[in-house]
Formats: sequence, structure tokens, C-alpha cells
Amino acid sequence: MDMDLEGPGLHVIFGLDPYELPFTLNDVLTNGAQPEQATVKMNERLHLDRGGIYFAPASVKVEEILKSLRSGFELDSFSKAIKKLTEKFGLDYLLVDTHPGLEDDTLLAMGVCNNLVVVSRLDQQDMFGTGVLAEVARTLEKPVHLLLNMIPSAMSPSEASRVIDKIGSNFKVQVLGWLPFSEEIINSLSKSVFILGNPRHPITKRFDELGTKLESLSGLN
Amino acid sequence: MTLNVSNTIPSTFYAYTWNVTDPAGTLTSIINGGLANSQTLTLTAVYPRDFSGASIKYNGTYRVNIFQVNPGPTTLVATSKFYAGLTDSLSYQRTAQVSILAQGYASNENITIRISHVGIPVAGFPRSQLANGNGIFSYVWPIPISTPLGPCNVSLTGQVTSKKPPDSQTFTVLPTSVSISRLVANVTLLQASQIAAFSFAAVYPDGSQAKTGAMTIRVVEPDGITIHLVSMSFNTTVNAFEGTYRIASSGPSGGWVAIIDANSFDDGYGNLGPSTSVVRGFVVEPAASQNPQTSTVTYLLLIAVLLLAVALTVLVSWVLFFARKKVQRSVLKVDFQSIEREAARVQNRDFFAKVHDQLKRRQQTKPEEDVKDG
Repeated sequence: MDMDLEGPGLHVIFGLDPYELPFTLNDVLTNGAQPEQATVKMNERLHLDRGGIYFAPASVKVEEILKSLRSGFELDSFSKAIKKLTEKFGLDYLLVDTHPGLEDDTLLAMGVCNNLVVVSRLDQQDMFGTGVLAEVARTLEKPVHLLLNMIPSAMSPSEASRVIDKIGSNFKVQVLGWLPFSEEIINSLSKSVFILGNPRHPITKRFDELGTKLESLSGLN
Repeated sequence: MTLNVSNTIPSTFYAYTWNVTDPAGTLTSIINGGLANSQTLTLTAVYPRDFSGASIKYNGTYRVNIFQVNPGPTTLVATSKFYAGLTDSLSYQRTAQVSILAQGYASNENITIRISHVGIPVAGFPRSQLANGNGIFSYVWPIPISTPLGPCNVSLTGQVTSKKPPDSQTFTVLPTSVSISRLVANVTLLQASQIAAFSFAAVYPDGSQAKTGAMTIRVVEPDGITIHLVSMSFNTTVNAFEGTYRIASSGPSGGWVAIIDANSFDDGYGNLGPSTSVVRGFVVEPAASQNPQTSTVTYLLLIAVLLLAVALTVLVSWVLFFARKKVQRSVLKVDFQSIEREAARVQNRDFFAKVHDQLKRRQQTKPEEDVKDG
């Protein structure tokens, strides 16, 4: 679910025009559209013959983005939409991708989720944001799991693990792991799902390991 | 080629001579025919496969004349023509690949290829390349983004073979498109008087990045009417187009939007993009109110600055006198008090209180629902 309502972009990676669907996530949140009408099965596009992946894109229209920013969100109605999607499509997991900031829509996503995975980089601004998010999540009693991304190649794996453990301990959040900076991912220019096109790439292995860790989180299964 | 014969007499044998004249004036023929089973008869012939001694060694127009020779008398019943070109299309967008193919040259003959626009050679031409062992020449030219627009002529000249008419053809170069998938903002939550920095990458259809040109994006205030223009230019360090906008201290709070309008980007050569507008939203909050500083606060601040200065001096001295290894270490500093202040600010917002209350209410009334939700 692309909840980055201020700057939606997941549809680019999935090669989808959001207007192929009768509605977008913005319609679900602000116009009461049915969530299943704003959701598309991705198996055929991603050439996946097993399982099922569904995607709910957000609107890229200026007026709809402004409308979403101006209008309020309701936790209960969003929670019902999530529940309906889960039941309708028999979902095992529902991943909500928010934008990096603590706006109303992010708080809404935090409110309905079981677990928060915070993807952060090793820089002052991201660390500050991660700290704030961890504080707010604690008040909402939501467990936070930290994933450090784009770790510079000059940093050894042991040093990276030491740093993330230290950050996790300072922010009192569970550490999920870290991903190295990947030139290949940058060069892929968000044209497709990188790990599907590069199944033997080392970063793909890291994502596999990350998936296994996520599956083991309490409240996810 | 297909010949459809109508109004035939059933059980009658029809025969036709197919004559094809190539651009050099050489004529090759075949005769074929068939027994009409009904009132129509369809015959086909493939050039040059079915025509003895025929080839497509010349580019240009091949003329076709078909004569009915049985039942007599011999009569011209159909004419047609087809075109054999050097290139696989007659028009291309920049960054597309022009596939040039010609035959009829000597084995491994050195061929000079010229591509020109209004008589002026295009950058990189003329150049030479060998034909293969069968006298077939092929060359692929990816059209650079700065190639002049309009008609381009491609011609091939063999070192040994002299073709009449020569291998020469015109194709049209069109501007290409530039796609911009995302406008990135440095932060999504700003306070008035802060600076919003924007960046984007512009990509050509062949996957290469645009690095030239300039443009302006529109920054729209929450009223949807007031617009500010921000110049974006290419930064070679970050390999992206960048621009900044300082939110005025009197800037209205609420949801702002930065927009790259459709076709507003020009790389300087007439290649435009994106095909649809790209938007990025961000929220501006009122500037933090400045608490009147008491003398105590000022005094503490002075002490803090002095302590910092002393600490800095000690640190520099340590580096100068004791550090043996020239290792630069980046230090990540986190101000927990600032984090707590910012978290408290978020938690004081009405919407947070609303979410928090609803969560507490749900936990009290329907605890089992939380397990199922999400």
C-alpha cells in the first residue's frame, strides 16, 4: 500500500499507471471508495507464478494530493479498509509504505499497524527522525524495528553491525539489520523490482534474509 | 507478393509472368499459375527467393508488372512496387538505434558510411567498417541526444564496389522524450523560513541520464493559487538536477506542493519531458515561536558556547599532537532532548490525540479486533 500520499512513487517501480484502476488509495481515504477497487493483483506483471502480491497505489494528481493533505483521516475507517483488504484477498501480510515524516497519514498508518519497520540512513536528519518516530511509537505502544539502509561500502560489516546495535540500544528499538549501499540499485533508476530482475545479486540475498526476519516478528504470523 | 484473380472460369488453368525491375534497371521474372477451382484464384511470389538471379542489392523502388499469359492473349493485369531501404525505419527518436543493412558488396570490403544533416556530416562521421564474408554490411547507430532534428542522409560507399544507384537514403530524426519518475524533497515537514531542497533525475528512453538543460518547478502554496518558481540545474556531484526554495517566515502553514509540469523540462536540445506532471507534497508549519530569552538562559548559553570552544580546542590539540593515523572518522551526533521536544510536539497535535484515543478505546472495548486488524 503506497501511503506516501505526498509523493507517491511505488507505482513507478511496479510499472503501473495508477489510473488503470477505477480508484486510488486517496479515494479510499477521502471519498469512501471500496479498498478492493483501489487494489490490483501484481503476479502477472511481476511474472510471479506462486503466491499473490496485491498493490494499492496512491494518486499522482495534484488536486487529489492537496485534497488528501487538507482533509482529515479516520483511524476507524482506515482500520476497516485494512481489515477488508486482508479478508478479501486472504493476505498474510500487509505492508504500508509511508513517506518519511510524521504527518497525519503516517500517524494513521502507525495507529493501525502491528509492527513498525523504520528504514533509515546513517545521517543526522534520518537519525533525528528515527528517534522522534521511536518516541511517538512508544506512546502508541507499537514495536519499532530498525533497518539501516545504504551503509557506506567503506564500513566493515562488523562495524556496521556495531553501529546499528548502538543506535538500537540508544533509541530502545529492536534492530532488524542493515543493507549496504548498492550502486546497481541506484543505477536501476527505480525502473523495476530490482531483486526480481537480479535473483543472484548479493543484495537479493540480504532481502531474503530480511524477509525471514520479518516473518519471525511477533504479531505478524 | 500476392495476386488475387477474380471472375475466373472454374477448371481453367491460369498462368502469369511476374516481372520485377530493380532500381538499377535489371529485370528478373518468374512464371507461375494454378487451376481455378472457383471464381477466384490467389497466387503468391516471393522476391528475390523465387526470381532467378534476383537480389536486393540496391536501395530504392522495385517495380512489379504481372502479365497473364494463359488463357491468352498476353495481357498486363497488375502493377505494383515496393521499397527496399538501408534503414529499418524512416524516422527515429533520438537515443533510438538506427539499424543500417546493405548487401551486394565484395567479401570483407571496406565500406565508408556517411551520415549528414543538410550536407554537414553528423559528429562521428564518416567512418569505415568492413562488410562480412558474404558482402553484407550492417551497422547500428545510436542517435545522440544532440543530433540535429529533421532529415538525415545515410550513404554507403565501397572501396571496390561501385553501385548505381548508390546506397543512399534519407530518414528523419525526431526529438526524444525525457522521463522524470520522482521529485525528491529533502524534508516533508518544514517550518516557515526554512529551506526546501528539491532534486530529480531525468532519464532518456535508453536509460541514460540527462545532464544538460535547466528548468523551473512550481511550488504551490496551500491555497492552490499562489505559485513560486524554483530554478533547477544539474549538479554533477550528486548527478541530479537540484534547486532550493526558502519558505518565507510569513509563509502559510499547511500542505504545499512542488510540481514539475508536463514537458517543462528541456535538456537544451529540444528533448522534452516528463509526459505527465510529477508532484511532491510537503507540509509547512508555522515558524517556531521564539521564547523571550531570560538573562539566565543567555548566561547558560554563553557558558555552553565557552565549554564547546574549550572542548574544540582540546580536540584540535589532540588531533595535532597525538593522532598518528590519518584516519577521518565521521561522528553521528544525536540530540535526545531535541528528539523529545519534537516527539512532544507531534504528540500535542490534535490528530495524534485522536489516534491515541481511538486506539485506547479499541483496546478497552474490542481487544480481539486488534489482533485481527492489519
